[in-house]
Amino acid sequence: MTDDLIAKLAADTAAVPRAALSRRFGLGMVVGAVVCFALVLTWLGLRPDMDDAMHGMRFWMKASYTLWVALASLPLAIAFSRPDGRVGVTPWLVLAFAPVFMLAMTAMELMRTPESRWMALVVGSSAMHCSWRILLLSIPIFGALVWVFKRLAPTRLAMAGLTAGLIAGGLAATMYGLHCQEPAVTFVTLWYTLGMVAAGALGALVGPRLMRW
Amino acid sequence: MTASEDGLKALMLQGLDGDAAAHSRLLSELARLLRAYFVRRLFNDPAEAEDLVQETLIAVHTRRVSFDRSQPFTPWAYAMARYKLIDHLRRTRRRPSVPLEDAGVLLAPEDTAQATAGADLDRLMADLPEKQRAAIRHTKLDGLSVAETAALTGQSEVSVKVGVHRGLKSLMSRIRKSEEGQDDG
Repeated sequence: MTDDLIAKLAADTAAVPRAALSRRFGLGMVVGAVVCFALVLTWLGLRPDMDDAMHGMRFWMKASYTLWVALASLPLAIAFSRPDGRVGVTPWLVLAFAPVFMLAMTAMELMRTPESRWMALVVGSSAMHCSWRILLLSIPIFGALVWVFKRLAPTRLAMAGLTAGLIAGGLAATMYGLHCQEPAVTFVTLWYTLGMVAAGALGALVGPRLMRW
Repeated sequence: MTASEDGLKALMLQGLDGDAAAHSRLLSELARLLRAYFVRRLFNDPAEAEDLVQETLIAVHTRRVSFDRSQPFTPWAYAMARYKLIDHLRRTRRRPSVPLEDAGVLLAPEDTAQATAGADLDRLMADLPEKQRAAIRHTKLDGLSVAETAALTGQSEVSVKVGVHRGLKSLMSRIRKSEEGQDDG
C-alpha cells in the first residue's frame, strides 16, 4: 500500500525552482494588491490632489511606513510557512522599527504644535473611517495569502495568520493612502497603525481555522 | 542501510532538482522512520499509524516547496509528522467508544482485571483538574512527548510538566487513601 503510494508520488517528481516559495508569496501579494487597488478606485477614489501630494514629503512618508510594515513582515511569513520555521529577534526588530520611527515623528509633530490643536491632528476629518477601511481593504490580500499558506506547510498557524494579516494590512494601508488626504503624522501613526494591527490580530485569530492542511 | 541526516538531505536536494529515483529512495527511507515514529506514539493502532505515515509522505511530497535548502532535512520532515499527529489526535480524540464486534472481547475473563484497572484509573483521574488530567493522559497513556502535549492542549511545556507532576502526586495520595480505607474495612 505505502509502497504503491511512494511509486505514485515519485512518478510525479518535478524539479522545484529555488525561488519557488518567494514566487508564491509574490504572486499572492500582487493578486491581492490588485484587487485591493481596484476596490480603492471604485469604492473610494484616488485623492483629487494626487499630483501635488506626490511632490510632498508626507505622502511618501505615509507610503514608506505602511509598505515597510508589509515588506518587513514578509520574511516572517515565509519562515512561518515552513513546518520547522523559526525566526530570530532581528526580523521582528526590523518590523518594529517602523512604528517606533513613526512614534518619534509624532512626538516631534506634537512638540511643534500648540496643545490646543492636538485634537485636530488626532481626529483629522476621517478618524472614524480610516482603520475600518484599512481592515476591510486588507481582506482580499489576506485571502490570497491564506491560499498561499494553505499550500505550504505552516505548523504555527496563529503566527502564520498574524504575519499574513500584517502583510495584508500594510499593503491595504498603502493602497488606502492613495485615497486618504490626511496630512498629520499623528493621524497616520494612530489610525493607520490601528488598522494594520487589527488586520494582524484578525489574521492570528482566523489563521488556525483557515490555514489547516 | 541506515538513514542519516546527510544521506536524506542529499536525496532531498536531488529530488528537488527533479531526480525521481532519489526522491523515491527518500520517501522509502522516510516511510520507515515515520512508521517507527507513529507506531511509538499510537501503539494501540498500527493501521492508524500507517495512515499517518501515508498522509505525511503525501505532505512531504506535495509541500516540498516549503523546504529550505540551507536547513537540515530531518527536522523539516519530523515537524510535518508532528503536525499530522497532533491534527489526527485533535480530530479523533472523542469519548472512548467500543465498536460492537469488540464487546465480546471485553467480557473475556482474562481482561476483566485490566478493564477494572482502567475504570479505576478513569474514576481517580476524574477528580483531577482538567489540565492535569489532559497532561497525564497524553504523556503517560498516549505516549506523546511533553512538547507534543503542549501543542495539542495549548498549554506551555512547563505547565504540562507541572501538571503531570502534581497530578501524579495527588493520584498517588488518593490511591494510598483508598487502600488504607480498604484495609480498615
